[in-house]
Amino acid sequence: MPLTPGKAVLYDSEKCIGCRACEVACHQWNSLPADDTSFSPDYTNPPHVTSRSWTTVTFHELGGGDGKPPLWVFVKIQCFHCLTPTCATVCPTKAFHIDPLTGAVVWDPEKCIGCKYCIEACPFDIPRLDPSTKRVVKCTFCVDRIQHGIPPACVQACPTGALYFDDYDRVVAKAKELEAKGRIVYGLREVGGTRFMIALPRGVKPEDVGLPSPVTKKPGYAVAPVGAEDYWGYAATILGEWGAVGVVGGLILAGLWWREKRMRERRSGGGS
Amino acid sequence: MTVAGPELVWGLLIAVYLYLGGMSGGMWMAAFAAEYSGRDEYLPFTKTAVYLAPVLLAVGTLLLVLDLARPSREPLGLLHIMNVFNNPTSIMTLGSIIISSAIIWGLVTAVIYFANASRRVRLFFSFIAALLGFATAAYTGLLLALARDVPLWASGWLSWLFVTSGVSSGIAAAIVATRVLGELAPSYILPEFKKYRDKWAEVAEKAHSYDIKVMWMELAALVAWLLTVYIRYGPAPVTWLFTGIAGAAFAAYLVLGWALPVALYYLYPRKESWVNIYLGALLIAVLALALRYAVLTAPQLAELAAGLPIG
Repeated sequence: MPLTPGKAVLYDSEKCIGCRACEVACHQWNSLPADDTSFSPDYTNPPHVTSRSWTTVTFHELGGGDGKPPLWVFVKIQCFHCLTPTCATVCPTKAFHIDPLTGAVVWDPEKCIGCKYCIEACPFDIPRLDPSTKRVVKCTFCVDRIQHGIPPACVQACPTGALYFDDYDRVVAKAKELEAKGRIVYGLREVGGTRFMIALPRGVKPEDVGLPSPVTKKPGYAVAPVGAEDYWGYAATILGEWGAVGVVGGLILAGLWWREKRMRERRSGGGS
Repeated sequence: MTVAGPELVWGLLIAVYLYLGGMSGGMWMAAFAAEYSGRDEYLPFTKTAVYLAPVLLAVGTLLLVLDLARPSREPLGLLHIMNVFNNPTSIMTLGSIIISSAIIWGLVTAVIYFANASRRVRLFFSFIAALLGFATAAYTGLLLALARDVPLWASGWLSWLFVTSGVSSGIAAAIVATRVLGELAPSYILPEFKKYRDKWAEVAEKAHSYDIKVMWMELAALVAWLLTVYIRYGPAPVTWLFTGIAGAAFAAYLVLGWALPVALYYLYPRKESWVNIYLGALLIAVLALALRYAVLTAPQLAELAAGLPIG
């Protein structure tokens, strides 16, 4: 945990106009090269974060039909900067750590060996392997800016004030205000809380816009009891199951072995 | 090259690593069981398993290092990951310690056997090797299960599937390798092989009959694993295991690597038969790789097919 409550960003989807200034600002501040563009059924481009685009605005057309226009929803995706980050927990070389001042989950490219475990483990599907440098990369929360008293590049570039940046406690208070007004704030509780939170438009659920709910990132899954907690809750479930199977299975095998041994002894005893 | 990488996060190299890790672990467990029986005619089988296991695991570990995006960061392979003070919360750190210990202990055990140490010494070394072998095989499954974000892997049963499959493929590979070494190796290197020549068939038959029992446990673990995933996540992840290239690999494992050897065993019971024992063992040993490949790549290939980012 950071020395201070740290910082957080609340993204208000209702204020977002999908201009993607945040994407451009992120590219500029982090000197990221351009991504190859590709067409997709909606206007989302790139379709998810990549090693060159650490944030992307996804577009979702919900409802509509029968003469009614659809609800057009924008959702900014980036690293959620979990309070208990799975990437940092599973990384064998400790390439990820929590910045003590801001609470951001930052990474050290020199420590990364490219085992890719974080890519498989992140509940939000964020880390990417940069094919040119062979290192895993992701959003840094612009800690280098925050340390100098200026907000992250995406926050500064947003023309509509959809990105609210402040101390974590204040952002949480604001998020709860929005919740009280019937909005779902994604990230307030998921995986034990995150520093990037998404206030969805009224009536929109996380799964409507492809957000993992609770933490199963791919659409089409039933609600999952595993993984809704933080990583240690998940690990305890898996390891508990593994241990229970081992103990019960071991007892059964030991019982069978003992029975066979006894029968063998009886047979040899009867023959003598 | 979607099938083997590089679009996959973990591709063929990691599948082979999981396969060899399980197989070598199974060989050590089988070697201890054979040693524990106290029957001298098992010595060719035990020695084959003890000599092969550390080599297979070392090869698997080399593949793991080669799969790292930056193996040059660690010229000595896993030494950096092994540092427990680095990140003790990472299962990968624990795994690298287990695997490195298993390779080192396995090599020492091989030397002990080569030097024809007393049975008491052999029993001690093979017991520790079996423990490390079990830990290695169990780890290969837990590594995937603890990745958290892949529903198909999210079950403790997956580890038990890899343990049982590791034992079945380890015994099977040792049966085949014992026969091959017995035929080919000069007697001054492996004197017991010729000495117990008349017992080869009996030992192979006995080992194979135990292997078939393990295969039933493997099937039970497989069913329990898929049921657990189905209950937790619904049908989607399970259906991916029956789709595309991963589905073909899984079907090959089920039909050729499980059903056919088991059917052969019951069709030709208690006979030394090339078809029953050696063909069956060969199928079990080889097709265990198809299982690892299917489990590893099914969710990744499904995500690629759906146009979703892998990970």
